[in-house]
Amino acid sequence: MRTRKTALMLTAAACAATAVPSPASAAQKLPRCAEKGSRTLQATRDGRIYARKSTVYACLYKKNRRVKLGHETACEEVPQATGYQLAGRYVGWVRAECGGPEGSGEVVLTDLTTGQIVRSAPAVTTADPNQGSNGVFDFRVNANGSIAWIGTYGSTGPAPSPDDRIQVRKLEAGSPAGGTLVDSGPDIVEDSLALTHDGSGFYYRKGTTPLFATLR
Amino acid sequence: MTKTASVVLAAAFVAGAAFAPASASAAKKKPLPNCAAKKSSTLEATKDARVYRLGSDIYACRNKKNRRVLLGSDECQNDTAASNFTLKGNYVGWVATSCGLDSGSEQIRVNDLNTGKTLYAAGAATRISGVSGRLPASTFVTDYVMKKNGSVAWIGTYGDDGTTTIDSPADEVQVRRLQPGAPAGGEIVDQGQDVVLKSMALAADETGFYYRKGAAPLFAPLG
Repeated sequence: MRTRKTALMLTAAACAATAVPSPASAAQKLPRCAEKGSRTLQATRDGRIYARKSTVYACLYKKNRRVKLGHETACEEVPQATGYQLAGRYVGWVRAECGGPEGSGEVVLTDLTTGQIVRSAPAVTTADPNQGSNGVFDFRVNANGSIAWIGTYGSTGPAPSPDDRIQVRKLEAGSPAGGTLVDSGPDIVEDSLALTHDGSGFYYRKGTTPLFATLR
Repeated sequence: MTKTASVVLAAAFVAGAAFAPASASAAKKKPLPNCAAKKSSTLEATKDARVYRLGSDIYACRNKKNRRVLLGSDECQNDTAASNFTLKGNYVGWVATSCGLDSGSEQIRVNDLNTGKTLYAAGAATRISGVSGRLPASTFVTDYVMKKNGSVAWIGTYGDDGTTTIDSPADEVQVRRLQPGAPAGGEIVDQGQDVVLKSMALAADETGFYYRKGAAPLFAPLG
């Protein structure tokens, strides 16, 4: 009799053990940085950038913690996050804001291990940042968190000089706020930017001339 | 009392037994995401594709196709080691390494992930200077870029002493490319021991690639 009772208790316990954890284990089976209803915008071996309900998030698999960047499409009432790039523990992205006929863009570097913005800089430096519109045409970020970009200045306001409508700039540890002007000129090829694989420098073209600048 | 308890427990067991297989079969039915493989580790990934190691084999897989393509292994002796992967469009670019005790040879390869077939394959570098060196020599791909259409450009070395160090007149450094219409084995774009080994980068518009020769940045088109 005692044996039968013990057996029943064991089977009941086993039965309970198989039944209870099922929903929990199903919930735990979501891969790291996965979220229901999300859509992948970019992925690397180390992390994922995704949109959920029109908000853009970045997440490092190691950390498994999402960091909100901005809105996917709208830029009028909330900042828009575009052009995201994952590099090591960082995500470089462009924060775009628009209002009326003018708009502005800035490059932003976020550390995905802390969720904090490490550095940011406007697309270009202008005589009057409140006039005209500016944007980041292209940028590259390396694993140290340094950024190089090509910024453009629109025509509604005066640029410092006609040559400054297109600027090549970089922002790295120790850079002055706003970054460093590397080059400027109307003949800078906007989609010519390229980062070396080790991230130690970047190329761009001015007319047909290839140029190289270092990046820390 | 004991009998009643036993009956209740037995009923609970029956209910549990009926429930357990249902949940187990539900779990079994849930398919793995595309290109996922149990016990695999990701070596490279993009939004659209993944390169992974499973045991000692290395595979590439495009999510839409969900079909793995065997590239090589992680061992270069008596085998082909696969490394340095680039995923872009329908293609995976990679470096194939075969090695002996004192020398090795590398190839640049591009595979179509829809068909699994090789689009391009070429040795890292060839002897062109005519300077006689010690054999066997080693060839290495020190850097490469790949476009969305699978065209590749790379910097290859022909090492007289089995290393990547360029320290002998017989050592060569070549900038090469493979693009539609190129001869098998690719074409030499530039050469010289002052070509910086890891200086290659693809322009954002993919019209061409950069490299450095000494301190001079150079640009060459890639079709």
